[in-house]
Amino acid sequence: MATELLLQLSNNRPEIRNLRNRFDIFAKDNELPAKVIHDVQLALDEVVTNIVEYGYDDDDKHFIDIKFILNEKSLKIIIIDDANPYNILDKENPDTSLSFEDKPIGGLGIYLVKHLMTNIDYDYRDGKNHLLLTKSLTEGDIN
Amino acid sequence: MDINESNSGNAVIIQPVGRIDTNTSTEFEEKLVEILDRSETNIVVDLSEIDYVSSAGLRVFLMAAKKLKSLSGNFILASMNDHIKEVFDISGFTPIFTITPDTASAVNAIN
Repeated sequence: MATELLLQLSNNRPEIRNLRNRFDIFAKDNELPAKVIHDVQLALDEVVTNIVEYGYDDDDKHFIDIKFILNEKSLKIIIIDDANPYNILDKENPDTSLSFEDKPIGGLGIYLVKHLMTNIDYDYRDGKNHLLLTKSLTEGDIN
Repeated sequence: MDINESNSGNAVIIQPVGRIDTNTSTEFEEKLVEILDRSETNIVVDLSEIDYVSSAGLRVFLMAAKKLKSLSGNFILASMNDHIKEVFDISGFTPIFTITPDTASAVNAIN
């Protein structure tokens, strides 16, 4: 049986804090492993910050819909927004081997999301970004 | 965010509590800048009370480490949990930072 949580945020920074707190409660209620909570919190911070900070050309209020679907095997997170089309899978990975002085910071957040999530799917339709993050709950993956 | 501060030998030890992410990284950066402005050159960040560090936090660490390197000082990260360590590994940050298992080792490395 799947457990779901639906949230709608507006595009401002304090909402990212609300998202974090709501997911904390969901994670605690469903006894998610610490590793899963860590990786998902970090991914949400990176993805939603990107949308809020860089996704819109205007100063209008926009809504971001986030749905969590939890079953025995995985936690899926669907993030739908009407920001500019942005496929994180197309984003080039930063060169993490560079020296101290040349260390890149731009692009690092998305790079982390790609590593920490088990799977990522992206689709742009009906004028909206649809990002699906999947985090496996199976033993091998949660350390 | 709560940030505790203490001194040990020549080192300033700061212990942020919670998460270093989009919401809190500015406050954490301001704290580090304030300490750097006091001409302190040995800073230990005790991460034992930190759950996670997002890329916003990594940016602040990098800023402080670069600044202290230019002053021939020390910037040491102590007591990071395994999840944070993995983020450092993925980002390629592990080889470029001084990371110690606890604050006592960090202070020993400085004094």
